[in-house]
Amino acid sequence: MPIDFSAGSVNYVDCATGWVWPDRVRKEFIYRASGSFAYFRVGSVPVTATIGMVVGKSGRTTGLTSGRVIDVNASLRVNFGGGRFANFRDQIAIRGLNGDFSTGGDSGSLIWTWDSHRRPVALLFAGGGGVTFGNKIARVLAALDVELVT
Amino acid sequence: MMEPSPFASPDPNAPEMGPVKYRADEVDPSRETAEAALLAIEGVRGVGEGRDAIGGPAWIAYVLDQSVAARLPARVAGRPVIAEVTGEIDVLRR
Repeated sequence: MPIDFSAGSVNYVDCATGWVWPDRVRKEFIYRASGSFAYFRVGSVPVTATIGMVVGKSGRTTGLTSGRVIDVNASLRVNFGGGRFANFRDQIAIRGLNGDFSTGGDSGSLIWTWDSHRRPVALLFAGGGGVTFGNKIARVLAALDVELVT
Repeated sequence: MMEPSPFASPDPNAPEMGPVKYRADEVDPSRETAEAALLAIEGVRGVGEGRDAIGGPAWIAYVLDQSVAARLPARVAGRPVIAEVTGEIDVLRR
């Protein structure tokens, strides 16, 4: 999705899709557990974030982390580097429960409910000072016109 | 029986299709007031809605540093303002 960097603009998502050969990818997510890798699946039915909801993600940089939703309606000015900023609305904010929930390189991680259903909540895209921000997953799916197959 | 294609266009005559009535009451005027007031303060990088220390509704101001947090008003549009020091909010590409 193109991002509008103009001053009065409003963005809701920072996301993209790619094509894959179904037989060359797997549905499982991966995380590191006591030195080796373990796999898990997530739900396919999105759920709306609420304040206090405990969520998790497995990201490239910080791996498996959990956090608590502190805001479900944030308007933000996000730094894209090179002097470029973009305005986002209707974002969720998360604070990590044991250290930072994410850091650079974790963008694109799916954020899901920290329970046995692991329902999709948001798509991780930004952060600062120990607070992580995500696009609401319903907005991501609508923007890309895709359905989750998990 | 064949499964319907997931790529089929939606039925334009289905009951949930058609124009959606504009409902002005969904726009919260106090949110707009708080957002305008807080984003006007230098060093505020975002505004949201969270909970204060005792669980009541509060505005969250995402700020560059503690000096900005110290300049925030205690209340705006009937709610307390709490600060989250995020620094610059960066995309987490790398």
